[in-house]
Amino acid sequence: MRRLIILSTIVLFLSSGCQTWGHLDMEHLGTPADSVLVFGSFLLPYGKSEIKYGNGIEFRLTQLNPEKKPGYFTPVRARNSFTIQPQEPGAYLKLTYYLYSYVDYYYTFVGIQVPTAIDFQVPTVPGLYYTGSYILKEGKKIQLDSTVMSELESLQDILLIYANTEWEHVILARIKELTDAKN
Amino acid sequence: MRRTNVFVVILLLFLSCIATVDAEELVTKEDLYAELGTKGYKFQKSLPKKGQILIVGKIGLFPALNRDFLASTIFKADRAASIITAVVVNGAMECFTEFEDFFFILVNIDGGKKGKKIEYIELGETLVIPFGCMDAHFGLPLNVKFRVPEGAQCVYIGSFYYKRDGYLYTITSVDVVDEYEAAVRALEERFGKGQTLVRVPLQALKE
Repeated sequence: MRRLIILSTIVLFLSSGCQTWGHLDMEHLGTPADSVLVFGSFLLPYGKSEIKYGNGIEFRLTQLNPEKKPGYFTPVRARNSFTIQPQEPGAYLKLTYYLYSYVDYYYTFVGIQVPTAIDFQVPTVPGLYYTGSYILKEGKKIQLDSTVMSELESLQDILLIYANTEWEHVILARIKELTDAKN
Repeated sequence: MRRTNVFVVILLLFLSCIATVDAEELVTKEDLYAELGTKGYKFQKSLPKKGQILIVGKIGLFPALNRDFLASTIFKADRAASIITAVVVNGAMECFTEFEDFFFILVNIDGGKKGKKIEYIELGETLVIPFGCMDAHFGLPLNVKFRVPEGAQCVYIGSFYYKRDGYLYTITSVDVVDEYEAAVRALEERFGKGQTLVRVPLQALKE
């Protein structure tokens, strides 16, 4: 029985390593003076619960403003929130592809023409930009739902990624601002 | 008991294989693009045989596709791959063809042994797929139909010029232009001299 438990643990451990989320280029992270740090959350229908192994959402945002630096971005996950490489102010990010997997999988190439709830214009002023909380509703449509996650919760999540960078104090300042407003 | 353990482990292994989808691998499969006809697609090079018809037309975009920018901003764009249009013909997306140049679509109009001969051809939704990358695809509404002229082998449906606006390639208008002479030249260049091209009047396809 012990052998069974060990084997099962190994299987589960190996399985959990297959999430395909992006990673940040920490050497070219931009600064709060010249870039916009984009963050938000994107969850499965069962809401706030931690995404378990084998389940997940993968999506790709493509920069479509021809006057800005080209590129596509696979979001980086921090708990239930996501962030992407800090952006050039004025960029336009469009959801062009997403995948939702839960035992079975479902993926869609959205392309560059069909608008979605997740497309957004990056502000022209450097700083933080909260996209909102997205959820994949029944019918596989992505919708904004502010009741699922708050900006404060997402900030606390992404702090894990931006700790010890130039963005840390900006995030902490915004957390304080939101906490004070709450109290 | 030992057999049960082995069975449970095998079951767990099986379930883990199903549950973990390596998405990166999934979407970059060559066969996906091959299925879509976006890589290595061979454009129509032979004339129609009996029971077939060749549709000649053109699709253009204004302002033109921002090729350099799209190639540099889109996920795994292959600059060497063609920019093609996928046209829905008679309800089935089956025809991949040239973009911003004269296209040649071969369609079977013979219904087979039991089928009825096709009298009308419907050209529905059209997708443009740049650089073999579905991330960059966008649609152009063709939505026309025409009656197949008796005895005609090659038909010209016109040149469709779409105006677009904004980053999202939003289509604002379409002009259908008669470029018959240029179409004949393109046809002869592709298939040799002496081809007969018949103009066909179009009807709007009810959505």
